[in-house]
Amino acid sequence: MRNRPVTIKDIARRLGISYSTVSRALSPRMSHLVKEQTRLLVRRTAAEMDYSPNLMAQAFVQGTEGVLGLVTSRIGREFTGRQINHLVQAAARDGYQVLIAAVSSRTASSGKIGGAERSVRSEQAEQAEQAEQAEQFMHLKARDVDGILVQALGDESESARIVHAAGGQLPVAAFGFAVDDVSSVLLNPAPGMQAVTEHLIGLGHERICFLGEDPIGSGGPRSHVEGYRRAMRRHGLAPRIVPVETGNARAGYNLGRALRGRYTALVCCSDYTALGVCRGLIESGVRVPDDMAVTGFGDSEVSAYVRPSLTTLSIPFEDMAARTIRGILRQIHGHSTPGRSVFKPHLTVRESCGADKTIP
Amino acid sequence: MRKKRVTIKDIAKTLGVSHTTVSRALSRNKSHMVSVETRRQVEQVAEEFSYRPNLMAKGFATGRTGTLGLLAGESYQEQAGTQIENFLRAADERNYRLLVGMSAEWGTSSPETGQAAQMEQFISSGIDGLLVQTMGDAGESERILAAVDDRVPVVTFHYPARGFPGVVLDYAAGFHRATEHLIALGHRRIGFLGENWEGPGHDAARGRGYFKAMTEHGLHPVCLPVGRQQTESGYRLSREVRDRFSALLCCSDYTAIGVYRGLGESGIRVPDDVAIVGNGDSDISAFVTPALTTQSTPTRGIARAAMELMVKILEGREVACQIVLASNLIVRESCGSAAVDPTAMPW
Repeated sequence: MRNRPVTIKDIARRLGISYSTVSRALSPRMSHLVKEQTRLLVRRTAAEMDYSPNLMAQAFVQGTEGVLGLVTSRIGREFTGRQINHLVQAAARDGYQVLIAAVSSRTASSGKIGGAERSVRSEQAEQAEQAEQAEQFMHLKARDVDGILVQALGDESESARIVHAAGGQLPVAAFGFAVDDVSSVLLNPAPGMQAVTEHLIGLGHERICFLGEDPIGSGGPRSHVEGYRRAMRRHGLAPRIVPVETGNARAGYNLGRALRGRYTALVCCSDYTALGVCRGLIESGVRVPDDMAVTGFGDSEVSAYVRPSLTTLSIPFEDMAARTIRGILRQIHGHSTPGRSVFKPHLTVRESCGADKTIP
Repeated sequence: MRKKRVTIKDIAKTLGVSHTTVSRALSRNKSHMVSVETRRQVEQVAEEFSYRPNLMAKGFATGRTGTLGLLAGESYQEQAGTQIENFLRAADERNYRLLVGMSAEWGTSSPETGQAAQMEQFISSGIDGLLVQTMGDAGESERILAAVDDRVPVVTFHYPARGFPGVVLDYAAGFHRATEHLIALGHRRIGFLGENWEGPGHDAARGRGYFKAMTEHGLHPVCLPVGRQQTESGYRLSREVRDRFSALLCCSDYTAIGVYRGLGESGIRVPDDVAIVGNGDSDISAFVTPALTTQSTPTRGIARAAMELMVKILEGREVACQIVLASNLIVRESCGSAAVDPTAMPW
């Protein structure tokens, strides 16, 4: 004898018909798709078996407005992962599912899984990643999605590649870099890096070193290093740049062990790098922030809690996601969209820059 | 027995109309080319047969798309991102594409509803099989059963779901071992920060492992409940610890890092005054000070084992129902053990 609630599956089994037919027959919205005879039979059987509606099942059939595709090659990376999570949540709030077509990092980069952003890579690897982006795009297009979100790679041929793949009808939105002729949402890190460098200069630092790498080329106007340079130049200070793989704590650690006395402040392009650097410094007997100020980028989950807590740039992931989703929904509903939304990070001052201390 | 995939040809045959007519009737772009009545009939038959479109030209003859769906948890904590990356690699090694879906808070609905909706979406869009990161709640097995309706094979991972083959991460064993480790170091007053072992929630298995080890040694188990914001909870709870415990076992590394701060602000030293063990081996766990003793999640092993099961099922072979994997204890500085694992340290 049954001692659990009757389900749609039980009714289907009793009648020897499919689950979805029973589900449709019992749903006010979908029952017109079922033959009347079947519908009546299902309802009668449901009443006999004392069935009461599974609200969950109903909710999911009624709740979906549509589906968006999302193309990415970096889902395991620190910033991309967070951005995608926020995009999925933002889409869900408007009733949209997201199908993510992701490429494994084997194609994308030789960097460490789960942390490393791009560093210097072979042209071959870059071309492979670009080709994969187009292929994943077409794959999603074939699945009849309502629109596609693309994680932009930032290369020169990207605009042509995406516009061609979209084929004119399909709503497309890019995130991560500006893509010509495609609605884009991106973060400009330069003002934030300038602000944190100015902050350190304001605390009395002069020998400030930049640890990081500009993802594309070397230092375009919207790049981490450009923001740092601007601040240094404004105050007549010599910029010092040490290349390091962003988002990789170990790479930061190795550098932290080596740097010692040459500088009094280090500006990093990721919180994970900064945390690695701090550990390296501590092991070498250099105290943070007393002997060396350190700043990061991204405001990770733990940055407010580590000791010393990390001064960093916070990224408005939620706002960026909301804007991206709004942009693509507007296209889906036939309205024109603004071309480009540029966001800025904001400075979050904590302990690691030594804001309550000054250099002797 | 799995039902044979229904094709457009089957529907056409049933109604006595052409393949082209059925194809147009079901297409989003071309259905206007078919009369309303015909369209209605086609839709009806399609519903009754649980027809789902088959999309990839390559797989047409065999009814296969060469694509699997992966239903993953939220990806903001990088473990989930790493897990997805490992699945992408494992699928790639077997020449399968992977479409990824993530759980989301669906308006006012629950994650459970979102999970069911996502499964439906995957299957509707055409996949050969579904890899599901289970949430571990009581109604999950039924929910997956209802949503999938035997249309595609399902392989689960992390928490077992009755009736489905899958890869299980033995959280209870891991936390039991971690507790034993602290007891072996001489600790008696060991607190647990995480979900209560009596709870119906997803992660109660962790606490159960701790509880078992404590009671086996005649020690008094204490649970400090951690909320959704794990780092914040760890911080808040540890501020009130004072000298109640000589060791704290945490449900996650994020919690442990919060605990570091809470204890530090109260002048309590780790590991000298209180030993700490975390869980998850995050990317920065080796780089905090003191370096965090933790349990690693075998994300690569999980992905490969799950793919193995899926491929076997798709090839029509017998599969073992559950493959159980264990985490490893990574001994670093925070537990105060003299036997630190040098390969796990930054140097």
